This record gives sequence, C-alpha cells and structure tokens, in this order.
Amino acid sequence: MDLEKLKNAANDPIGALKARSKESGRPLGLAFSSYFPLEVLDAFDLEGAWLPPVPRPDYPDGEAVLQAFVCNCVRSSADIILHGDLPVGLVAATTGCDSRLALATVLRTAGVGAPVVMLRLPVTVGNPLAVEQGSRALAGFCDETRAALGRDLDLEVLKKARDIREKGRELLTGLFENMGDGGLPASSVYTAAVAAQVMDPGDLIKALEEAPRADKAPVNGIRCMLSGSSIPSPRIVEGLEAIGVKVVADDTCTGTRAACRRTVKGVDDPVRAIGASLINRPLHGPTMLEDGHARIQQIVDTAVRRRAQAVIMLHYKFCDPHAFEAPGLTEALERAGVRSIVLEADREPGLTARDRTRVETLLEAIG
Amino acid sequence: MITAGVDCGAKNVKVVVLKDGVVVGKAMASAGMDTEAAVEKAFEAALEESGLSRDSIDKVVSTGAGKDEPQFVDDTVTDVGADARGMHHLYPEVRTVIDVGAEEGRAIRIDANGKVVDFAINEKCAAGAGAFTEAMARALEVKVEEMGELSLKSTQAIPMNAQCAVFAESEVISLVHRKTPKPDMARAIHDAIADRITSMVRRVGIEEKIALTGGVAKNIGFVKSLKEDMETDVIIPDEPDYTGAIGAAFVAADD
Repeated sequence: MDLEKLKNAANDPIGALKARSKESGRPLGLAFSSYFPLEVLDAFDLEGAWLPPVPRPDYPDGEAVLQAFVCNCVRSSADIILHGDLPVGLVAATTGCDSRLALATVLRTAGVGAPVVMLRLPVTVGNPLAVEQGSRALAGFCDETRAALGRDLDLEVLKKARDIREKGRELLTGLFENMGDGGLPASSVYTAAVAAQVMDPGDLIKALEEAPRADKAPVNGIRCMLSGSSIPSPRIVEGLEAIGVKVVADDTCTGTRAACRRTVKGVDDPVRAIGASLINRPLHGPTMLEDGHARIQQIVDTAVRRRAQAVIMLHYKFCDPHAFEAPGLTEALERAGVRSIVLEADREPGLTARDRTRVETLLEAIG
Repeated sequence: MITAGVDCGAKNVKVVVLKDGVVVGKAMASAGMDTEAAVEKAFEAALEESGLSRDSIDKVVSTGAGKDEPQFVDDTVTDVGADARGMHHLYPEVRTVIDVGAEEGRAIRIDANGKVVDFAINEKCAAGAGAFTEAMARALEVKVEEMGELSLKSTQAIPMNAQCAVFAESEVISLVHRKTPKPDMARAIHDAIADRITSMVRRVGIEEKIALTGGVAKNIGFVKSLKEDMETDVIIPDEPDYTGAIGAAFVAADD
C-alpha cells in the first residue's frame, strides 16, 4: 500500500484537498456526510470530497457563528468553509442529524460564497416508500445543483465516477473485513478510510490496491470493535493500539458504514440507481432508522462474529444520535457477553490521558 | 515477598510497602510540580517506616494519574484496578467501591474475587471530585479541611448546579450576596458532589456493601451527603488515601 500517500492525505486533509483542486483546476464539491454520493459531484465537474472533521484547539471562524453546543464535526466543517481558503464550488449538505441539517442554514446566513444545496433524504429508511423517496431526493438535489451552477450533470462522467468510486469502497470494505486478522493493523485501515474522504478516486484505488502487501497487524492485543461517529484522526486508533487494543471490527461513520453502499443494479437511470443505493445500504447510522434495535443487533452480531471482547463506542461530544443509542447498545452487548465503553472525542486528535486510563482499565478488567 | 505500591495522584503521592501481605510502611508527599521528586520523598519515608532497605523490595507497581512517571517501577496498574484490589484486601465483602480523589471520581463494581465487573469515571469536569470542594472553599473563604464540619451545622438544603465547577462558583457567589449562611452553602456543595457521584454509581449498579475511598472520604460533610443521597451506609477505611497504593502493592505481590 502506498501508505505515505494515504498518511499524507489523512494527516493533512485540507492540504490534500487544496492540492487536488489545484492539480485538476476544478473547484471542490464538499459533502458533509460520509454516505453522500460523491460521484454526483464529480459529474458536475467538481472535485467531490467528504469534508472530514479536523481536530484543532480552536475554530475561530466556526465559533464566530456557532454559539450552541454542536459536535466538533460541524464546528470544524463550518470553520474550514468559512475560513475561505479552500476553492469551494458547491457545498452539499444532507438531512440526518440536527447539526448537519442546521449547518446549511448557518453557512448560508454567514454568507458563504459557494452555493449550499441540500440532499433531502427520507427521515427514516426501512419502509417501502423510502427507496422511491431516496431516488427522488437525489434527482431533486441534481436539479437544484444544476440551477445553482448553471450547468448540467454529465451522465457519462457520472457512470464512470460511479464505477470508480464503488471500486474504492469495495477495496475499503475488504480492508475492514480483514482488519487485525492477517490484514492491516487498524491504524492503517483507518488512515486509508480518512484519506478516502479527500483523495482523488483514481489515486485512492492505486494506493488501496497495494494495501494487502503493506504492514501486517500485530498478533497480540485485546480484540475490540470500534463503533460510533466519525474518527477525528487515525492517531486515536494508533493510541488505542499502543495500549494493547487490537481493533478487529468497525461500525463508524468513517469506516464500514461509509464504504458499504453499492449501486442498485437493474435501474436504467443512474441517478435513480444511486439514489436508491443511499437507502438500500446494508449498514445505516442511527440518524435514519426508525427501528434502532435492528441496528443494535447488527452491531452485536458483528462483534460476536469477529470475536470482539469489547466494543469501544467512540462518539463526538454532542453527537446526539450516537449518544442516544449508547444505553441500549451497552445493554445488548452486556447480554451477549461483550464489554463496552463510551469515549467522547472533541478537539483532540488522539486519546486524552483520561480516556487512555479508561481504556486501560477496560483491558485490565477483561484480563 | 516484599513489594511496594506507588499511587501518583493528582494532588498527593502515596507509597505503601508490603511484606508478606502486611503493610509495614507508608508515606505521603505533595505531588507538586515534580512527581518524580515527590515519589522519591514518599518512597524513602515509607522505607524508613518499614525498616527495610530499597534493595529488599522485590517488585514495585505504580498507579494513579502519573503512574508512568516513576522510572524505577516494574509495572503499572490503573487506578480502578488498584482501588478494586486494595479494597478487596481491606474489606472482602465490599462489592461497590467509590473513590473520590482530587480530580477524579470513580465508581467500581467488583465481584467476590475483587475483579472489576464494571466501572465509571467522571468525565471532563471536576464537579464530581475533590478539586471542586477546594474551589468552593476558596469562594466561601474557609479552609477546605473545615468544609465538612461547617456543613454539618446546616439547617436547610439548598439546590445547586454542579454540572460545571466554574458556573457553580458563580452560584456560590450569588448565594453569598443573598446572605445565605455558610453552613448551608457548604452543605449545598457537598450535596451537589454527592448527586454526581451517586449518578455515576447508579450507572455501574449499586451493590452492597459499599465502600468510599480517596482523600474526599475524610470530608465528613460529603460523607453525610453521600449516605443520604444513596440511602445506605458506606464503609470508609481508616486511611482512605492509601487504598490505591495498597492495591498497587498487592497487584505487585499477586504477580
């Protein structure tokens, strides 16, 4: 694996985005959600990317407009966009959690230069109407983007971008499936996942295809699963590995959930097929599910299948959807004989001393 | 076997020397800005009390916030692990351990073998720990050691927000301006910490018998508030500051 390229992108995602836009001469199309279909932004002649949260001690531009308690994901996103040094051609917001929904209004109110277009997905998935609503939502997003940018979506580019982006997600899924057990160490897999948010999709595939030949995961360590919101930086995973955690399974916004979407086959209209795939994903986060128990059971099943001895719930502070599911998940894991712990990430790139102690205690208790 | 346990707490360093399962020496020193120097000072004092030489110590285990700082230790154990082991030695019948130190409050549920079943630690706020009492004592202009006695003289309960130590200090200042009697304010402060600690204990599940350890266990006002809040009695070791160091020394001996 070309770990250096991936590490550079993961450690400096903003630098990577600037370089990518400079190289191609195209502005960036930035999405706030790791399940947003970037191929659509590519097809509007933008450099599609998910804007990852960047851990920093302060966010002067973001904090100037966000007075409420919001997760650092939103604070960081607002700060980066409002700072104004990224060549942004379009901001793609999505429905889902309150913070992401509100971010669009915050940016518009703050007078961000680029158009902000909302992808209005159905509130809940898992019902017969949701797939149709998802397809229509993406079609609506494309209509609004067309009006905002004054140009049409290129269908041929969309089909190519769809295929190349899907290949990238398949490769990432493979890395997560083998993580820790003969595959890569988790820190390298999460480095790839963070880099995947910002890298050019072609460059990403080249780097990922080399992945299985790169370093192998350590044999020792307590087998754990990571669940929760975005991973602020691979450093947090490196910190976990350094104290004896062997991450063998994932359920995070940055990880398997971002990579699991597959384009629905047998639908002629590529926009509708992609729209349907947003709803038909095998894994959803807690923001769009009416039946949280099904998701909790899915996490428990994965933990058991991967023989995880504990689940580390890594949440962004003020990330309500994950915070609300934590009590139920803790209880379900306990019933399955799997220990768990909740860690709150905020502005720190790695583990805080206190969180490190808490994880060490968990590992000690497991023995 | 002779072992030593070093508890590098946020405020004080405690050292215990253990010989064949019996505490033969112990000492405490203020952690200050130089933890290693404080450890040396406490270690020498504990050795002197034990009458043993440094060479006779077979193994040293450290615990506490600064557990990685002393270079001479053989191993480390987390505060939770040390508390559990120490309390299991002191009171084998205890199933719930509450430790309220200077900067951290912990609730630990242990089984009959002293193994940690579950635990909770107060997160990024000092409102459930001893530092909160110190800050409030400053606001009340009384010595922190006097807070316990003072609160026992209270005649009325006053609700207080203890979600944030800084905001709580503002609240105390408001109470001062309203001429609220100091004993009532001292009690409100202890009640607030007790509320937070009790919530944390409920998260791990309250199981009798319950023991309280850590420096704040010496504050009789807080102990009264905690007992009332939990509606049960709590066991307090004679020297609650040393439970972690005792536990670390036993962890060294267990290995």
